[in-house]
Amino acid sequence: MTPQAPEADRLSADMHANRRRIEHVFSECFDIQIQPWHYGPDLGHAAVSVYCRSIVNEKDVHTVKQTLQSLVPHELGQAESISPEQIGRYFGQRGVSPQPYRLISTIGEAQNDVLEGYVVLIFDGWDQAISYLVGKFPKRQVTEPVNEPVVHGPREGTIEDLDTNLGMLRQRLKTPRLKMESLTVGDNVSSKVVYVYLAHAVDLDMLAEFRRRLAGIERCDAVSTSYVEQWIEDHTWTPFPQHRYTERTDTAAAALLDGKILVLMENSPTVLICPALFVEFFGTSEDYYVRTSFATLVRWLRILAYFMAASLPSLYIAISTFHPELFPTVLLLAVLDSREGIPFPAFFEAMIMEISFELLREAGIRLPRPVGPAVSIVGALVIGQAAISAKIASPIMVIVVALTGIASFSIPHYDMGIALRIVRFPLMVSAGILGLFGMMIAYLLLFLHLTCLHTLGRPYLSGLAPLKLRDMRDILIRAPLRTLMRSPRNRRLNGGGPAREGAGSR
Amino acid sequence: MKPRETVTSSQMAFLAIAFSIGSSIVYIPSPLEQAAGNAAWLSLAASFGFGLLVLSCVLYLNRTHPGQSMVECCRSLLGPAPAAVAAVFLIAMLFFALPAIVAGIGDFQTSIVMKETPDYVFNSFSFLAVVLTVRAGILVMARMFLLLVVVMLLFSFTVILLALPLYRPEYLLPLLPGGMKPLLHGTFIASGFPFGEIALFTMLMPYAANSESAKLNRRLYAAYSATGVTLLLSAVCSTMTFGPAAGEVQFALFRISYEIQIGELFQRMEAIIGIALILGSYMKACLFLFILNRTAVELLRLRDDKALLFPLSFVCLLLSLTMFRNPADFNHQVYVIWPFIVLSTGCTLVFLLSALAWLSRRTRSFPNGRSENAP
Repeated sequence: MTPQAPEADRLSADMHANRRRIEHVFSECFDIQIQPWHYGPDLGHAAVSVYCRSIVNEKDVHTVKQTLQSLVPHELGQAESISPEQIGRYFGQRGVSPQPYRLISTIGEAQNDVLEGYVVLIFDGWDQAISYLVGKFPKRQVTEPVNEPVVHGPREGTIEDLDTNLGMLRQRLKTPRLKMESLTVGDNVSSKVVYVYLAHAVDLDMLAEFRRRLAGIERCDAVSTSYVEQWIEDHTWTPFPQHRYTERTDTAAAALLDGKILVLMENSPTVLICPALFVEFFGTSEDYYVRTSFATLVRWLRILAYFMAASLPSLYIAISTFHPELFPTVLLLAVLDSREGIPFPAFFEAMIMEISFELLREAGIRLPRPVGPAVSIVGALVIGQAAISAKIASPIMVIVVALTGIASFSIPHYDMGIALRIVRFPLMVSAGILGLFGMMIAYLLLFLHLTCLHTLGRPYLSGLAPLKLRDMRDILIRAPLRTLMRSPRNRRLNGGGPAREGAGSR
Repeated sequence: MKPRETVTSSQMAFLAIAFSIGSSIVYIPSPLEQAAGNAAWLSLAASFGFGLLVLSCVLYLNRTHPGQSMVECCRSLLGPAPAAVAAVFLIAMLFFALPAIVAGIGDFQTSIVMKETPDYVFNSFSFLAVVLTVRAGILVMARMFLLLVVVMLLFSFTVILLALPLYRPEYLLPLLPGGMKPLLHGTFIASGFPFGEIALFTMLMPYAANSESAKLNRRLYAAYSATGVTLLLSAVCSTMTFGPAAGEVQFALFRISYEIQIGELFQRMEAIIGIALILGSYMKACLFLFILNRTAVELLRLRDDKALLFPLSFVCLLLSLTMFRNPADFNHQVYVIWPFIVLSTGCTLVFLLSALAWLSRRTRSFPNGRSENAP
């Protein structure tokens, strides 16, 4: 009930007037069903139910019967004795009903409820209405997320249904400190956005900053969590992601314990984790399910993969063009031998191969699934065998490009992989112009750029710059879980009390 | 004006390491060997002692005038006119030092790595990186340098360690082949470059977080000692590798890395030292440009502290291309003239200010000339 609703919006006691107004609101909406009913002595009273056929299971629309049945003694029948006054009195005072219902008093509420899958019942002679949630839009099963498969660990992933996702989070963190605040965005999409945090784990300054950034999004028609991400992010033009996504509920729950804020949205299966720090992109949820030594080894592999994905082609260009003396002699001979007859300098050779590899990768994503293998066969032939035979690229170059590709695939977060793909090209240019010195300058500028980035007010490189040796136990190595649990990364959890203000990180 | 950024004591310590080691880990052994022969490391140790004295004066000034840079200190102790003169001297010093550091990078590249590329390419790209870094502010620099110093030291120590088979300790004897005079000469060079330069660090002290004074002093001494030990190590290793010829070898650590050959696995390590040298020079150049800009801003009392950054670095770029006619001239200016300037201007200024601060404190505490024991 909204007492402050404008008078014109309020439901009137005249059912026909209400019906006309609703018909006006939903004119040319094929899937809106307005069903008149009659009840009472000699079927003398009228009612109407309004629902959206496309999102309501019509077989379940027996809500009128249910409503009337709530008022008669314990017998089934036609409810002949019921009058509109009785209905108004009973439901107006929130009488008991076998199914939960909502009491609504304005056309606006009626409209929203119809569009959310409720059946709205309007009775003649009562200036309010009740609505039941009936059936729901079919939803995908909870399955393992395609993008984040694991060997060990739970196989549960978020789906497009907001309530199911929130329910899965509640299942994992059964504490009243798990707070969920919601807002509705957009006049047209009218979707719910819910942000979730753990009250004693989150940094209050960060939460306030997050809320401040979120302000104003209500007016925007956001259709996915990525809209929210771009709405609240600090730096628009950087290739580096400042927030993380996951479809795994265990990752989301762990992020909450780390003091992150999650953003979930209706019809969007991805959970946005705010903020994400650079070092967090080295890890996956599975790191905590396998043995310490293996997790640490994998960490190192990933760190190596980062460097390879960003700079292997540029390193090859720099060394083979400017500093051949840095190759051990035997390797140098092999390189020179393989480059013989190639008409392009190493830089162009690398560019051609990298660009064709990127094209192939992009084509592989967009193509219909049955055509996919054909592309990979063609690709393997073109940028592999044929390019070498045609003397466009040297075998070593193909190895370099392939290794770079493999390295970038082994980066667990797709967004970060994209960032490294972008960074690779300026590095190649700088290596092509000035060799290792150029790479060095490019790396320094890249490091400077990363150090200047912030995410929700925190330095993006936290852990590395500012360097915190304590954090290295979950960056360079994955310390034993016993150690990590005894003193969690998020120190607020230790106290267990209300969240303290975060100490400003330098 | 915006509120001043502050950095923590540990970041300050790493800034001090970046400031004082800089590129000298690669550069310093050669001129010292030239001047002092085998006594190079002894002269380094002696000048480290002198550097500690300068550092203690810097820290004393920070205690008596917290939050004040050298120019502001001068202003409050001597008045505005002498402060302006001091600032002009400082700016002149930095107009020499900054181009010299960057010219060092260019010199290294053109003489060893890429001989056909003209030096303005290296100098201008270096200045680009430096000026963009300084523009980002001292906090970003402090964060970056912490990691970069670790990388630089790691690389240098890797080379020093891998060169173990090359060392011949007997080269260290005799300790004083030419008597005391070469030792004093070496001490003079190393007292100016790199140890005395810490006097300029006074300009950075206001950026230290005020709440951690005792910790800051401890950490700065520790950082400075780490610098001393590192440079000493590099000098000793260079002597042990090249013996009497060490003076003839430019970029000693680089040459050592060139000699490393352990099986087929560890060879051609010079890229690592090249990286360390560029990193060191880059960090030092950033800090010097920051100080230069700060001094100019304080001298001219500008509201916008970034307005002068690009003009100043452009002037420095031009100076770096024109100031040194050839490598011999570079060596003369950097190892003969620069130490003298550091000692006569920077260190003298810091000593003078410290003495004045001490006197003014004393006269303020005991205005009537009573002794300390008086009630």
